[in-house]
Amino acid sequence: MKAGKLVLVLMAGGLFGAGLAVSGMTDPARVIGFLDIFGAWDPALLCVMAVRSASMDLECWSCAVSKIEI
Amino acid sequence: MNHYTLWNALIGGMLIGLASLLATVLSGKIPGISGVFGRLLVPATPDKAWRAVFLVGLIGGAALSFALWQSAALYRPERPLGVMAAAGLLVGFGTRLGGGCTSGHGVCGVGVGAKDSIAATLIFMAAAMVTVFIYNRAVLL
Repeated sequence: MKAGKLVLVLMAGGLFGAGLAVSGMTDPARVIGFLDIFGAWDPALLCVMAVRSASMDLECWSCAVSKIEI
Repeated sequence: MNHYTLWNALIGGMLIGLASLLATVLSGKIPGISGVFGRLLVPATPDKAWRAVFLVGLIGGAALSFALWQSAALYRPERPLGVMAAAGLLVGFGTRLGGGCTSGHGVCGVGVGAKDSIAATLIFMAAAMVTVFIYNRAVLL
């Protein structure tokens, strides 16, 4: 892989890490809060999962429309 | 952004979605963190460079967020170290057996509507909920 592409990979990794941190998914207590449906349920993780899947979906769709090969 | 709000979940989710797509386009593979890291440890893996760079970015991006936002820096490990180590081992084994983790199946797979990923996500979420239910009550006893 060329150096230019590796810089983009670094950015992708950075965005991923930032996304996890901003959404609080690096905090084990929050993840356990989502899984504890019979306790004090915390729906945040569901929002994160839904949005990130939806944004991936939307981007794939827009790529398909513009015929960009992914 | 010092308090956790729905915006954290929304913005974080969008960042992860964007990052997943970018990584898919660049690597030509559906990127799951467990797979990216796991294959880095296998000597025969030919494409180690982008995997290592991606992981450096992953940790760097999180570190930068921790420095910028108080709400991101929350880290509350509520389990003893031994339990965490055992859990890590199970996660590693399980994600390789199941062919993906929360990022590979849960984000990328579900995002593109793959049936096996949707099934895997539902099953590991359900299994995790049962585990939390049992663990919380076993600890309280």
